[in-house]
Amino acid sequence: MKTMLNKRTQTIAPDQKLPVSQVARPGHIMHTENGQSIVLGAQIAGGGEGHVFKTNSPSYVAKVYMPEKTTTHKLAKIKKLIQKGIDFPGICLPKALLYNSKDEFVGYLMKKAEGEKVRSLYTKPLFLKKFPNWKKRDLVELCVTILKKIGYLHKNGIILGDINPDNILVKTPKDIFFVDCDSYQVDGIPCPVGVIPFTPPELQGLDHYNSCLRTVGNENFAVAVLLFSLMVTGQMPYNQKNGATAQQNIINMDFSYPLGEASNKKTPNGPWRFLWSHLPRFLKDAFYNTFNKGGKYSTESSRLSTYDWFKKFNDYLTLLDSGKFGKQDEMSELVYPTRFKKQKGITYVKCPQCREDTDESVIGKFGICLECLRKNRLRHCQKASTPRHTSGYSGTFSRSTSTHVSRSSFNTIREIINWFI
Amino acid sequence: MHNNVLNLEDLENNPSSRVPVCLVLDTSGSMENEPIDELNEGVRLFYEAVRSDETALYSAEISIVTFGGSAMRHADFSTLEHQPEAPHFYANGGTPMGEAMNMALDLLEKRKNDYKASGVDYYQPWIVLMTDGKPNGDSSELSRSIQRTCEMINDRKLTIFPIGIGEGADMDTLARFSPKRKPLKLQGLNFREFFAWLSKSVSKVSQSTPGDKIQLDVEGIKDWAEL
Repeated sequence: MKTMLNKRTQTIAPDQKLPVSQVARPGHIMHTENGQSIVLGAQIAGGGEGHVFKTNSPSYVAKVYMPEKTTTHKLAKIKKLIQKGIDFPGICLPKALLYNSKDEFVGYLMKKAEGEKVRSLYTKPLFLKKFPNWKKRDLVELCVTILKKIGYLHKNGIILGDINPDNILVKTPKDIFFVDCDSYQVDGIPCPVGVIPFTPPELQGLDHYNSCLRTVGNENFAVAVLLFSLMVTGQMPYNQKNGATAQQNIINMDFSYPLGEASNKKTPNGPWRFLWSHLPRFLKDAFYNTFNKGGKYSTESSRLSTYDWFKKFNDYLTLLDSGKFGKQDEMSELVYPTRFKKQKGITYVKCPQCREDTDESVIGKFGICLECLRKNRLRHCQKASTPRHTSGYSGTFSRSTSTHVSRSSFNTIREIINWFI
Repeated sequence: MHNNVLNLEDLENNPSSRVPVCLVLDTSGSMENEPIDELNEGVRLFYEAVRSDETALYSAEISIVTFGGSAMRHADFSTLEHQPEAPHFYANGGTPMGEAMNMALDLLEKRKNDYKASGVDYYQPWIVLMTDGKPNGDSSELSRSIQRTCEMINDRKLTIFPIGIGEGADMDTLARFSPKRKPLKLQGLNFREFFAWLSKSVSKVSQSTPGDKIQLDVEGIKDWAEL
């Protein structure tokens, strides 16, 4: 790992603070390099490094760094991003440098972004609230749109570096915005940030994210994680039942979703296995071979590119929109399937408890589907093992307002099991 | 206790990284009248603030243990989606701080095991310990809780915010629980300001990723602490 880092690290001049004598506030007047005046409006966002303000120009906003975070590296990078002269709808790149009334560099001007963070798609109640009409094909189209933008940046020699669910805003599946573009890696200036779940195994354990320049191969891991989190909506590929930490699983490349018979048996409980099962085989294959140790696409140099993924997701979108995929199993068109995808040659019957279509041979053996069996066992164990009083303490428990499975419904299910065995 | 099933199912259906926060609060006799009223209002506003933050609503898990006469568990670790109402506290009795801290640590251990079993990621847990007096529970419980807390803090497995209320607060004992952070004294009865700062800090954490270094709002501490 150390030799790889040395190969990649270039001698970068140390970052230095630039003089900024005042804190920017709404109403302050900034100017660009060519003398255009920009008046700061209300603050619309604030982060660890600075704040985003509306401006007197309705389609542009200003990002202004905190005085102590205004540095030479930032200035150099923003200059390079502007010089590149690239433009793509929805990528909020710096358009002009901003200076305050004392002619000190303070930040930059960019196009305004709109929409909900991708992160809100990860939480089901939020997803349903914000995008109530979305079907699976909308999520797939969202992926296609994201891939187009990332592909454009890669083609122009820019590596995002910090792909994560808070940097992408979504209005519609075709209308999205990339924000925090000032951290992109360009022309030898590294991206100083990153998050663990999106960091590839070969870069886990770095002291600082800006200690090396990332490659497109490194980035393709983050792209795959993002796509996975949108397809198995809200999950991360390396979260595991009874496993090590997600970070350790990334390092070990221990992926917990099955391909055919191959499985580490640690898929998290919950609807995730259903979501995975409804993906087309070619996509499961791509994810499995990216995230598993020894897989065809599992190393920095062998990973699928954004264009490779773009082709696959385009095919998936066509399959869904043509109705072909839905013909096999109509549940595959929904965002949140509630049972496994139907396979050819299997007879399906309704589970008496959850009413979902289940493999008949399994129902015959246990009386109810395996998922209901597991949930019933879980509830029964929890009720049996919870003490009324914690030993050693003389306290009592306050009333709880939650509901729980009553004994009577459990007895009914037991009767059903007995009937079928 | 009835929440157990719901809380385990919640980890299955909502795998967002969790921010476990345990409030360990003094509700002994000396907190009677104004102090307990202000504490109740502060906690109520804290719940309100967390509930209205859509990210924190699904990731912050709040647990509450009080010590007033006996150590009592008012809330088990749960997101406010499933446990939306703030409990109400009454002031009474002595100060079994050690017993309460041990209860909090036990609840935390159990919840961490739930997280690991379900594959849900979590941020470094926080304990907020507030007292207006000296502990007078079992001394071996107290030493055991201090030892466990310090071990976890030194292992980077826990963050504690020890806060003294009023003139009678024993800052020395609070300091024993906190090898890395000096205990702070609450300005008067500024519980609301403290809990507003806490809810903002929790929001900040839930917007980040586990493993990130979180910069707490040091400026904001001036709103509630005597510095």
